[in-house]
Amino acid sequence: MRFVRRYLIPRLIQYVGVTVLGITMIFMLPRLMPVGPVEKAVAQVMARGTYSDPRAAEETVRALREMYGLDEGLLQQYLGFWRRLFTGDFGPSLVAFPAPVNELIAASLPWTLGLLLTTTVLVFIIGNLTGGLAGFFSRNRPMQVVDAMVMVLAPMPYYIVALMLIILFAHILPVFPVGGAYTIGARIELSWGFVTDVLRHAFLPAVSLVVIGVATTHQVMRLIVQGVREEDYVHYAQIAGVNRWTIFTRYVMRNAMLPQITRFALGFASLFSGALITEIVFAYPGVGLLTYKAILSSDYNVLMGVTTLSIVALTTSTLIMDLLNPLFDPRIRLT
Amino acid sequence: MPETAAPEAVTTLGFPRAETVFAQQLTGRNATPSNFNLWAGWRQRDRGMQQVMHEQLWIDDFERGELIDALAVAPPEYSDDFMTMTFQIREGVYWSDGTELTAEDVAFTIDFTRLAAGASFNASVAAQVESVEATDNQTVVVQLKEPNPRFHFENLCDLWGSLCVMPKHVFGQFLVDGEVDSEGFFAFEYNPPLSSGPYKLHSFDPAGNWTAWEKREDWERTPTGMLFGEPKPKYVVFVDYGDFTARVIAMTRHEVDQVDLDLPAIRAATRAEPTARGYYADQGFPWLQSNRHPGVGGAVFNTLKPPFDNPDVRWALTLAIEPVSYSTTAFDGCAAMNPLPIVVNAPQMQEPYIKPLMEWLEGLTIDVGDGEMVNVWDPTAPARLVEDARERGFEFPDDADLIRSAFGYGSWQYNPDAATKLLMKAGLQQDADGKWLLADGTPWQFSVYTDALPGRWAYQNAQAAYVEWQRFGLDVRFEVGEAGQLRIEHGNFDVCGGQTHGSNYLENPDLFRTFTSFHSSYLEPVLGERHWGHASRWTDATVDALLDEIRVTNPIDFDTLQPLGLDLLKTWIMAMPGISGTTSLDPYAVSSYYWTGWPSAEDHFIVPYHHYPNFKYLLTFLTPAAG
Repeated sequence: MRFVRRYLIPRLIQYVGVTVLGITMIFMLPRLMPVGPVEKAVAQVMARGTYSDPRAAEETVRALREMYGLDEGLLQQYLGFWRRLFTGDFGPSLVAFPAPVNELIAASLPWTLGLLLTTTVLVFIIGNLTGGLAGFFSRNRPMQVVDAMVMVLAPMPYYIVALMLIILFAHILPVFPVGGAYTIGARIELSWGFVTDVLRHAFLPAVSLVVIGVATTHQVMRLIVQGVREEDYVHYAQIAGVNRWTIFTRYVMRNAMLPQITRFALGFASLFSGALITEIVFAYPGVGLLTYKAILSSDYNVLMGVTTLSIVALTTSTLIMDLLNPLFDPRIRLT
Repeated sequence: MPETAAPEAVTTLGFPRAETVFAQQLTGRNATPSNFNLWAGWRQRDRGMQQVMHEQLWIDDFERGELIDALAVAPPEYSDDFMTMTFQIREGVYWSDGTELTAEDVAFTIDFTRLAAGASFNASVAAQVESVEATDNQTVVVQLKEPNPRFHFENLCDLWGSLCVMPKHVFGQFLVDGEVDSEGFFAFEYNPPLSSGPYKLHSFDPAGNWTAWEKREDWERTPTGMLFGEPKPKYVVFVDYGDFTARVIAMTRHEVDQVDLDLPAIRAATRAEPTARGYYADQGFPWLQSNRHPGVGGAVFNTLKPPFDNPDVRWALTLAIEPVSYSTTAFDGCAAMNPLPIVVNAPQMQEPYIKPLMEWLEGLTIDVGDGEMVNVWDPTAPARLVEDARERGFEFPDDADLIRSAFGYGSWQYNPDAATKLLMKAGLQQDADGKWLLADGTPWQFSVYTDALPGRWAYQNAQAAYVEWQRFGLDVRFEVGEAGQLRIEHGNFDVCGGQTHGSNYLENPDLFRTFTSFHSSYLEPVLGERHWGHASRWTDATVDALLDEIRVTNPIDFDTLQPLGLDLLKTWIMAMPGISGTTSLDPYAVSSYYWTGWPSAEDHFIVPYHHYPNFKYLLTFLTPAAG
């Protein structure tokens, strides 16, 4: 009962408060900008050379603002947004009016989730494993080689790595496609042929994310492990003659993993905001590009849809980690 | 250009490669892949809708220098009072479902657009159209509310986007008893769409990366088929290939036939792939792109903001630019110098404007202070650009006509001494360190702003102006923002890169569209408020009077229009609200690996771009490489 009162309830209140505050901020911020989606949409059409009488353009903006409900007061728009949200509806996209935001997100999210879920898990497993081994067995020759490779890779800008992969494996050795999520013209179906096609297209984007992700995670984990290795209880176990591998797995890695598990959980939240540069470089149809275009065009509803998912994912991941941490770490339970 | 036979059926793509043209989708990944209702809003019409699906009534072709009568059989006829417009459409045109396309469809489209608030072109059509009717199967009569001999240019003539004809038998459901079912219409995805053009929808990527079109079996029942014959590719696919690197690699893998690139990427593509080329055959300097695009870009002054409200300051900044250096910074010297508010290489502009202007410019002088007059025109600039190219190791024939067509007729003089005097005349001063001060003694600092991406003409012109003015000794900054910020439209800039005036119509010398946005009736005098006219906010009583006269003159009445147009050009030049630099370059590359017969500088028979409506015509000229 004390746990519920002192630990669970405050965190639940915090969860609801942060979620509502985050969503409210995302609602307000784009609306404080001097120009809205309608002005930008009209400017986009005119920029290509379509002639429009200046007065007709002005009238178009007025009519569209009325149609999108943007001529209503801020409070009315805000209440309308929450009403829709509770029915799971983000409303229509303003740029692609009246296409529902849900549909736009649904078209992009599976690709992002498929790619980022896989790479996030791979990065977590490989990065922590190699980082842990390199930190604990720091004098081991192969680990030193891995460390050296990571030192080269980690500081490299992601864009350069992605570009190198394309040049190497799509141009010099043209074994993978240059971009896209699947072969142009292919029918989307649950068949072996289509699945392998999708995997082939996802390979280079995935490798680019894994390479950089593993390098970063490796370095973080290596540093944590090096710190844990110097703890008194580890020295005590060594003096007591505990098997070295047991020390590594049960004494060092278990403790070193705690902050990494939190990082991993937070990483899940980013699944919903996509990987913008990956999507641009590999022409991969994910949520990142959808969000970027929504920002550029002030498509409030798309922006609200994507960021609401991200905020809810982030606060929920944090809540879950807060609730699970006492299970992983008895010290939290005791305090 | 190497002629390489395409290997049979070798492709990693999902279409028979030798029967398919792949092209970049200019505006990128599609936000509404399943929606083809372009009357209800922005639907990225360059995914093939304007190029191969729709037949427009008229199409502006700036390479041919003519207005192509597409679905319409001839230009419209206006009544003497310009209150009635009558035109005929072609007989025997059919929608892709086998229904005949008649004047009823056209009249319905105009009427529906008039009534459907918020629809594309609604504001313009509703403001101008009193009524419309189809008097027979081929004839449409439009009654206007006010005289306007350019109604068709403004709404129905396609340069890059016009009001397309909708099938009445599909959209008629949304207009009942004169009432538009707005909710139903805007929610209608029009999927699958009907084509009036030679291709029908084959398939599209639900995630928006590509759209594929298949040639109609009855292509001869479309205006394209009637005018130009059979389009050769069986399929046309518009794809977002990703960034420039990915596009170049796609070209080397023969996965794309026509793609937008920037100038360095074109060079990379042509070096890596022998079958790739740009607009000119020679891929070295300076033969890269068409110079006939109807838009002209440069540096635009915010003429409501001191000291740019003073023409002497604007002229000073003009004469502070060294044109060869400017051109080299902007486009590595690859673009024609286009210092006039008109496309200097357009064939239709030569007799009415370029020739008389050249004579006038030779003698043009301005007062730089104390009655001292200086010449401002430099006809030698293009030749100096060629010299500069030669010094860089490039070859260029000594042909005056070729130099003119490639580099233009001249430019404004580089005269830093005159520029200094003009600034002094405007009340500015230099301190002991040579820094420029405003009349009140405060340091003069300003920025050159662009919201375009590197490589695009607005960016390149802004950057070049900034480099020149910095070298001249001004305290100037270069600012890059996002297009979505609309800073330019709100007047939140000093000088910006952009279109220095409206596009020309290149099929005739009517300059109404070029200058109409300068009319004072559009002016928003308060900076910070959205302005719908030209970004410079420059207005002039003479221009107003000329525009008012042109507005009620038939656009084909060249005898009346020519002197008015010439006066407009001279007035604009003397006021210099912007420094025109180059025509809009839309760099692209094509591959002859699978298809040959692309338009080019050597044979510019049609607008060469894959995102223009003219692309459907271009497809009829292609030949399979294997054939």
